[in-house]
Amino acid sequence: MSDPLSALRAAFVERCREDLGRLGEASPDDASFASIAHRLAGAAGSFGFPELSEAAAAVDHSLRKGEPPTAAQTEALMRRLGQAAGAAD
Amino acid sequence: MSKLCILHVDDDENIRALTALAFDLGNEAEVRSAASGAEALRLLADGFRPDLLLLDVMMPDMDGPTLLRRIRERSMSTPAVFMTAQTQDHEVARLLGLGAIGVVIKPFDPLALGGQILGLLRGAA
Repeated sequence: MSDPLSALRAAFVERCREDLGRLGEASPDDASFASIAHRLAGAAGSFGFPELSEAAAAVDHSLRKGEPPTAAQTEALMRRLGQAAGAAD
Repeated sequence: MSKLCILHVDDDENIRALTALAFDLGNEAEVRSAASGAEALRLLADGFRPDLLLLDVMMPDMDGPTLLRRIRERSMSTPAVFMTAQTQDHEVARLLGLGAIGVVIKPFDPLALGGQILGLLRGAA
């Protein structure tokens, strides 16, 4: 039987899979894109994905300044999110 | 001595679950969670009296600072700690200036959260 932290991490990974689909369909101009980036920036590191937190924080920081994220920032976020979504539960 | 009672308010269900587990694992506190400022205000209006408020800053309907102001308007002086992903010094200073006893930077280490919060409470006592 998995420990409680593992169960919560699995739930987070499952949500990453949903987020990957939602971000893939959204534009960085969309409110949902900013909302997901902000949430991932604050949460991913707590579930063992610090690189995803950092990539999401870079996007979140740009959007907060009123600037669109760079292509490199968006690519890094999607790549890290894909890695987290593919992590074993 | 009875266990510390915390009201944690965060719109992210993953973080609510992780925070509750973090305190449960350490047997340090009982955590009651609310998904929004409105839900938190309802709990307090119904008579719930926590020892500590743990408030996310960025929430869609009512942000943490607004929630704390609404709670203070009800003459409740419960110590408050903000949780934020904004790491800039000026943002942390702004939150402390609103009367919080501390700020927890997200993402946080779930295994260290209890000690961090208890340390803030001891420092404020």
